[in-house]
Amino acid sequence: MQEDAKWFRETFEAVRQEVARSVVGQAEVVEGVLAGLAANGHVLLEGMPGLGKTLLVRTLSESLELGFSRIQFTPDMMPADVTGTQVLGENRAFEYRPGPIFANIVLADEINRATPKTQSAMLEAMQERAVTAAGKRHQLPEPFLVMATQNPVEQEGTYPLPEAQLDRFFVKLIVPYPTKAELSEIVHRTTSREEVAPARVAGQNDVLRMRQIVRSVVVDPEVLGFALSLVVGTHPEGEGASNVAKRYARYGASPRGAQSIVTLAKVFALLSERQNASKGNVLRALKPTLRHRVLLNFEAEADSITADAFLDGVAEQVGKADLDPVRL
Amino acid sequence: MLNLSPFARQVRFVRAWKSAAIGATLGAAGAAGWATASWLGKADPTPAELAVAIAGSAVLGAIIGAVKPVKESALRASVDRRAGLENRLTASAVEVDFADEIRADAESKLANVKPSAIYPVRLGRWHAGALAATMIAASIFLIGSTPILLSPQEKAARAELARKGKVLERITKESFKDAEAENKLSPAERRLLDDARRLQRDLERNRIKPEEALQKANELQQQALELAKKGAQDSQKFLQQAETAMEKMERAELAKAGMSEVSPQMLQMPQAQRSQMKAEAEKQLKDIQRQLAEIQNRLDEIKKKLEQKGLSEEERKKLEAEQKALEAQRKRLEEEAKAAKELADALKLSERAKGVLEKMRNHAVMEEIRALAQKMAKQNQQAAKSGQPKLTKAQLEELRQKMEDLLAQLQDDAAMEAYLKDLLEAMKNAGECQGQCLRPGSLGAKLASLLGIRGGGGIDDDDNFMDSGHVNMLNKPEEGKGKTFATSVTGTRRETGEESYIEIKAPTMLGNRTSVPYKSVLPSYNRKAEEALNRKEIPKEHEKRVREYFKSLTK
Repeated sequence: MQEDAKWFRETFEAVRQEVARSVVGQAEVVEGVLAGLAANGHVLLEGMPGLGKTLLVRTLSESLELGFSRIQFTPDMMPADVTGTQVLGENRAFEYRPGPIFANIVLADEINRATPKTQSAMLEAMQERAVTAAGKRHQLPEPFLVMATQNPVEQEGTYPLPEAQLDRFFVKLIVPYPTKAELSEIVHRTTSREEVAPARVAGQNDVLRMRQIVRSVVVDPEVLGFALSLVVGTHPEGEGASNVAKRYARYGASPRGAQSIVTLAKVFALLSERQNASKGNVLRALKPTLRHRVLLNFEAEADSITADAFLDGVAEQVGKADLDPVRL
Repeated sequence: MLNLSPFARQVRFVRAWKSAAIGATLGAAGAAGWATASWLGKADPTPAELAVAIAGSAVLGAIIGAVKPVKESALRASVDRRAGLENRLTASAVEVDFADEIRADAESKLANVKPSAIYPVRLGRWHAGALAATMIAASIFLIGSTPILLSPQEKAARAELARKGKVLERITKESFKDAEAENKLSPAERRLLDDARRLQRDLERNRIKPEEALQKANELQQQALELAKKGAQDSQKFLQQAETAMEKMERAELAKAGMSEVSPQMLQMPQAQRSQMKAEAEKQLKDIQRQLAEIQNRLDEIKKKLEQKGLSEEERKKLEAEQKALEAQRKRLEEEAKAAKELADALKLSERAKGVLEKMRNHAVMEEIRALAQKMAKQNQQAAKSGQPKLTKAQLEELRQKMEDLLAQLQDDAAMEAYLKDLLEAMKNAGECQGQCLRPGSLGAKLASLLGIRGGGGIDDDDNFMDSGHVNMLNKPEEGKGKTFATSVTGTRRETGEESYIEIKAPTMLGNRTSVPYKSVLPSYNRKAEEALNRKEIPKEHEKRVREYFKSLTK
């Protein structure tokens, strides 16, 4: 296991460094995307246009030697434009033509610009990892990772993703604006003659192996209990509901949220050179995995409580209740 | 397997440290309440008791903290958390394929963790609380016990009461020190001592009004007097045993020498007195004989006249009356003559008898007894001066042991042995009353007196206390005492200050005047004689004589 963990870290680090050659800054986002890849979870990236979301995903696919496709969602896009459609072939028979979703890494750019119908088709493929067309089921390739980007919902002409569909994303990463230094570097790289071509540092099997290694990380009952307390703490009702959730939450995190937080904690544990997840890893995984899984009420909106602030409140309350079991 | 024992020990130690502080805080809070009750006069704790309450609570708390169990699973999680081991210890308890790797990782990290670093022993809120509560309790106690909040008049009154309390403390300490140290106080003495100490504390802390204190002090004094009287009565009883033993021994010696009729008391007279007394007795005998001869002559004359004829009836009656009066006088004179003759004979014999007793008293064994008695007398005198009224049980035991040793050496002398046995019995009885009987003037002093040693003051026959009185053997008759010889005891009575008194120890033997009114001492001697008769201490052949003697005196 130690060897596997070491290999995992080295591979992960190699991909990250390769991505970093093209993408300036955004270290947490890069790490989150790679974690989603390693944990077999789809990633939702949210940020203003032009922050390098597409570049990030494209660079990642190139450095991993995986099949890549990009879908630019627009309001008039139809589900078949994503999943593929039946066309009349040369032999006068209908044949299925796979859509852009048939790739290892799919960049669903500005997914919230598509209509709910199209979003739904996309998200069904994400969940089932298969597409059904004309009564025939078509399995998507492995590994299959959707990296969706979306603009902030305040922007005009967008269709916010339904909660049930958001739940299918393993993590939601907020892409921040670059700092001045990062911006300087971006300008320098994109306006000079030099063009960086990402090297392929890992392949399809490496990704699958990474997923196996992540699954073997130990989560002891103490850590698991803590993680579940956080998840339950987001529920507005129930025994473990936190005061913050009782006040601001309409719906709390689903069981997928619990799975996601533990899985991401495992990835972080491996990155911390450990074979066991810790509470610190869980806390670190809290916001990426749950921020899109909680639905806040009007009071939270009135009080300008964001999902991250809400989760901070939950973490604080759960942390206070998580006392040292040895009372002195 | 991870070795978490050092961490468990450290946890117990830290818990004990903290629990001790909690216990001390609670104890100090209780002590503060106790001190408050003391201030209000509802309780009477001593500083030591308050300190014990706090310290005891602290110790109890420490024990509870130390014995509280430490679960291993909880300890793992706790060490993980405190040492920043990222849940390595809790994960090491999970059974997986690579558990050994996880455990090895945990052990390597744990090796760098010191138990005292993650479970430090430090002063916390409870320690501050314990200190504060202790200070509060001490402050309440001190404020309640000191006069800083009182007016000058109240302070003065309180100081006076406190001074009296100190005096009372000194008295109780000196009076009961030995017995209390040896845990030999009787229940009554223990009650008295407790009451006295309580009064002392009340006085020192101004918790009692002066009038109430006076009343209480009077009650205690009365109880003390009653206890002392009881002790004195006990010592009188043992003294009588000793006296009886001494007299029996002396009489036995005299009987052995063929002089059973000689009174041992007579032998205590100085030679000059004895000679004078003997001369006077012989002179008195001659006078009586002369008077008897004169009476006999007159009776003969009266008889002749009555036998003559021609006497008138009136003359005859007159002669008969005179004859009757003379016969009565003759009878009385005959008795006096008999007594005088006996006295003269006894005084003649007493020369020899004294030799016998002198020999006995000069016996080596008696010398040792005398030395013991001197020691007892000296101790009694010292005790009287220092205010310590008792001889200790240990001292009594020492004396008793020496008596027994002497007895072993005297087995060849039956009379001496009998005497010493009686004396020893008296000593044992004195020991059984646990020193209470050996107050100044009691057994030790009286034994010394019996053996011719001057002793200290004590308790007289009427159970009155005396201030260091002394015993005198008068070498000449008291003024106006006529033909008697007196052994008197002089001293002063405590309750009446310096008033002198004289007690005659020896009965009047001759003459018609005594040093004290005859009737005032006769009942006492008569009673003693009856008691001696009842105790069968008088030889049977002399019982009748003793009865008739006292009967004649009371006529």
